[in-house]
Amino acid sequence: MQPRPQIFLIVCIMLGLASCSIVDDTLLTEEIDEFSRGAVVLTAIIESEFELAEDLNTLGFMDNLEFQLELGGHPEPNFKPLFKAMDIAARKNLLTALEGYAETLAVVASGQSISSVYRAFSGAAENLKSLSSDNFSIGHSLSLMDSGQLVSDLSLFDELLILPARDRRLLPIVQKGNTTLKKAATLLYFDIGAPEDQSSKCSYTFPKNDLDATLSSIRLCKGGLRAIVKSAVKFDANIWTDKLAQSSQSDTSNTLPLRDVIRKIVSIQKLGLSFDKLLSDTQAALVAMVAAHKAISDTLKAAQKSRLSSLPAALKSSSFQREVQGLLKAAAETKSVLLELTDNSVTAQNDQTTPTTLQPSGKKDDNQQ
Amino acid sequence: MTTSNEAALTKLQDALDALNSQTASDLPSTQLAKLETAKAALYGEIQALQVHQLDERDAEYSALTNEFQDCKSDLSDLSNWITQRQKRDRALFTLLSKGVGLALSLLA
Repeated sequence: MQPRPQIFLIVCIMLGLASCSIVDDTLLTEEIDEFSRGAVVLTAIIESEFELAEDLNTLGFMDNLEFQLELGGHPEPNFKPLFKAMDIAARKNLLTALEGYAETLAVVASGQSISSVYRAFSGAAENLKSLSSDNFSIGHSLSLMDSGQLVSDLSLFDELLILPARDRRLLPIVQKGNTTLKKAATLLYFDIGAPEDQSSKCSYTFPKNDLDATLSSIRLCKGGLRAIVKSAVKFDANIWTDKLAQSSQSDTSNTLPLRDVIRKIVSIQKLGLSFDKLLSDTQAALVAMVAAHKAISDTLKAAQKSRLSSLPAALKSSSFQREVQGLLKAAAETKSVLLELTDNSVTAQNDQTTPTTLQPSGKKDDNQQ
Repeated sequence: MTTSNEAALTKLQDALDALNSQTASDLPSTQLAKLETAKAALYGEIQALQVHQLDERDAEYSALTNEFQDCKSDLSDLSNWITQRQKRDRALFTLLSKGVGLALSLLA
């Protein structure tokens, strides 16, 4: 039996309504979710970088203390942490707030926070779907497949009624978040800093912390975590270099084998390079995070005017994800090397009481002669 | 960083570089121990000054934290609005579905 034209009209109206969604919300939701997950990981990495810098400073303190004691000195054993509790708290609070914003954004975009209501709401559609074509008494006018499709199309109403309005209200919040996120990223970018001056205008002037500056165009002067890490690495490497020099002059019974000292010096310098790369990549990830968020904002804004693809947002968000995934691995490696150095430090100190390490290497003997 | 801090940092760094240039192998242990003490002191001052740069931004961190909390609050409000709106639309949806069902029945 042929369906009547009126039924086609109803079906067309519903399909038309479905196509009226002003933005590809599935894609937008995915992009916001990716941004959120990336931001959460990035904030955790930045927090761990401050801890790693503190650990590196502690390693230097311990190595120096140990060396002074070996030399028969009377060093001051009171350790002063690098960062004050309030400095760390200020940064942790911001990172937590950023994380909270990103997570809530994802929740709003996905509707997770309203899952129970959503399920109840969807229940109406589910009830409708559970109806067979016989319930409509239209078996003679529509094929079974046609009527099943019609029931499925009806369930699109829930999204059609909510999503455009949600997106309109979401836009100003995301735009406001955009400004705050950019300022926060810039501040963190400044905090990570640079190991050397990046501008010729750095003589006795630290660039003004212009939070409105474009991140990619910032030329930092020496300072921040990268400079702090560089100083700590240089300090610790120098201790071991002095140990190496001193071992050729002093009683070898209280020194490590030459090769171990050399390995230490190399490991510390390699740690310095990988740590600096981690920090530099974190700065790049901050730039990517701002771009990913701006793309979401732009997509929502453009969607107010016309239908458009969310492709630009997808690309920015993917780029951010790639940056963050790379950082995770680099952060884990840096932490592992630092832990190994710290453990070796303790082990080396303990090993000096064992007969095996008391034996000087042949080279050392040669040097002493 | 202020000029005075920057100048202090440069002087400290120069002093540490000068100590680092000492040849450790030429010094007896007691002298070397003193040298290491001096290096540690200078290093500590340098790091303190560099960390001070970060201290100066604490207030900005605090302000931005508040801004993020405001944004999160706005998002929570939107989430609540969506919940309310869905309740309203649910009723509308039920009416629409009944209407469609009725229309289809009449067309049958």
